[in-house]
Amino acid sequence: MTWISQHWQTLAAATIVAVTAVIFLIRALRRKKSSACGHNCGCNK
Amino acid sequence: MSTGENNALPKVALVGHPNVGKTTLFNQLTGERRKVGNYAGVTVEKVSATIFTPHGHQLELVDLPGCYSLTPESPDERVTRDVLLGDFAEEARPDLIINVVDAASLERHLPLTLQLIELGLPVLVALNQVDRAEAKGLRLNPQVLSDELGVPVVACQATSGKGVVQLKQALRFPLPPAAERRWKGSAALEHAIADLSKKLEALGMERPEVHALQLLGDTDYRVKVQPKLPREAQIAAREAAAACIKENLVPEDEIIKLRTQTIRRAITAAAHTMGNEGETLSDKIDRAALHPIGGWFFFAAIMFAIFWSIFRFAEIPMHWVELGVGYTKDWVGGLLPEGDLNSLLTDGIIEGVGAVVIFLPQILLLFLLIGLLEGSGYMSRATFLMDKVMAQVGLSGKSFLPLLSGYACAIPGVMATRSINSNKQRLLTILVLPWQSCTARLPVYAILIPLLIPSVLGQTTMMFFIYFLGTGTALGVAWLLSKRIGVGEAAPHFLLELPPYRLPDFSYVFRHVLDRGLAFLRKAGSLILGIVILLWALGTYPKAPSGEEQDQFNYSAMGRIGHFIEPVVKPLGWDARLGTATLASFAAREVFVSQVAVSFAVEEDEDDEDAFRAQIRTAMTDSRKPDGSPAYPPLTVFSVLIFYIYALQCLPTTAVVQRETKSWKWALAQLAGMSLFAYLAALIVYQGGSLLGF
Repeated sequence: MTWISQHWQTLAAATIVAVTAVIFLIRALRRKKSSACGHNCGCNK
Repeated sequence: MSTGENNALPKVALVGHPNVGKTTLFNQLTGERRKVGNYAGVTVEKVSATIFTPHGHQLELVDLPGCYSLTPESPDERVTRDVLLGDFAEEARPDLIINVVDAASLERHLPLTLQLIELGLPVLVALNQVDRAEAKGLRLNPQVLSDELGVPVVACQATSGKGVVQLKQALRFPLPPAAERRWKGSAALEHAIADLSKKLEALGMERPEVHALQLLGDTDYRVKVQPKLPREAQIAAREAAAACIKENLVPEDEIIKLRTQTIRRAITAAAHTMGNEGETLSDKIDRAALHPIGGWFFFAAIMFAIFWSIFRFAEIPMHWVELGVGYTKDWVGGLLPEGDLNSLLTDGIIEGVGAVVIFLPQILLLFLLIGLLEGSGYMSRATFLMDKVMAQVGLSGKSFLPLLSGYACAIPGVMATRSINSNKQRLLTILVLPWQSCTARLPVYAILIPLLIPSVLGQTTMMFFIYFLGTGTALGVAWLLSKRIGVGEAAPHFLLELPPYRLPDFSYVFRHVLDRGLAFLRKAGSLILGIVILLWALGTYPKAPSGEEQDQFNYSAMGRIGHFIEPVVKPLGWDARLGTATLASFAAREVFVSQVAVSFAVEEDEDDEDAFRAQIRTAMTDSRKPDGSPAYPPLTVFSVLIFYIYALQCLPTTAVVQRETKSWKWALAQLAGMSLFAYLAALIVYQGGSLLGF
């Protein structure tokens, strides 16, 4: 397959790495779900 | 009527003791259509399915984790209690409970039935295993039992499908009303319950009487839930408890006494012994399986068979996976010309994910064998035998099998800890399990041990020493950690039901194996995929101007880190090459071999592994320091060996530990702790050995 040159390969690989890093970052920074029980017993207060 | 979060179907929950036949009944009622997930925030499996009543109404049937009572001893039991009380986030309270009861052991099962009735929910009792009860000489009258309990009772035999139609008929709409509590306490107790209910109702709490009863009669609920209640409710609960003490009344004791009396009355009325109660087949097998001496031989034989099967039979499909990964790599590599994308796909993603997926056969086989042991009833006996031994180091009898399977691979072992009831014992088992020498360490040992000892006998003795050291450390650290982790947590009561021996429910076992396998693959396709991409980038960028493989690694971010940490590894007797190889094998320890080969420019020979290893050993032996002394004397090699015995060096294990503990804190603490332990052990070996003149 000659349509994909080394230059494009480098760009594609770097994009995949960058997207992966961003996903990891977002997951790490995402706020955790509340541990409250969801009912009105007041455990989230 | 409460509704599930994602649908408006009425919910029916199956509740009962572990091993009572709930899952078999679930399969009978649903035709084995089911959806498996997890309860939010905990590693407790949620199994549910949609079924139709005889009149065409749709219902959601949920198989709740088995529990002995509503006073939980394990995370599974706590989920059941919280779901039934309506205290579980994102999980609606059921509209009806089907309580599965062992007809042959009513005295042990009916306390839970009474607790369920006290929840104020409609209850339907499925009197399971009536055939076994009859074989034991019991004649039961479901109608009388129904009158005594105030709820419908249906006799059934889940294994043969007997009574399942009647059970479905009983699910007719409208659902039966909730029954009244079956006992009446002393004036003081009733007053305390009523008074607390009124106060909780005034505070706007749902189901005030149910919560009042839990707060007065369940210590675990008081300890775990009361501190989370609004301040006024906490004060009301404390006042109610103080009022009881003033009256010389322990509500918990009185409630248990009243339930026991109610159960005795119900059993006397509904069950009669026909007088032919004799020794069952299970009793006969147990005479051998639980014999004080013979039982251990029986146990050892079964465990040896499992261990041997994991090694022997998993090897074949593992080889297929390896071949598949190789072919895929060649095929994808052939589609693209040389370049970064080609390298990312082949050397990064396919090889990295393939190195994890290769463990799938071991995982499937281990869960198949565990499923067969559980389904046959022997697992409870094995736990019973091992509990006393494992308790010496703070572990559970159920820790034994995960630890044993850790010799094959830590990943299925960590996943198998789900059966351990106590949170503390489960965490301890997970934390020390990777010290069991797994098969992925063998290629590293195969390089290092012959450098230390040339004779086959000596090498075998060394292997034994390695296994002994790993296991001994795991048990010793478990004992030490048990004094530190969860100190305040009450020791779990060892309550174990020995179910009768029976043929396992094969379809359930196979489905369970499939679920575990899919869960593992999902992990490999998400978190592990991400990690291998990032590790590939660290080993690839920045690019070396020369383009040589050896130069490239040294030039890359990972290679630079390797050089940067050289002063850290120097006290271990290592040079930069060993430091870099150890760093590169951070994600998978077996990478050490290929990385050392790259460092010494040894060409990998997939057809002759022995010759390849011999070449690496020769290169290491011939390697010299600038002063002409050997670069890798025996003490340095021993230091590396000790490091690899103790270091975690397996990112998939870290990912699975995170999944099982639901905590990055424990997963990273384990990684850091084991790495530090390995470093210190290697340091002591090298520095101590140097001082002693080795």
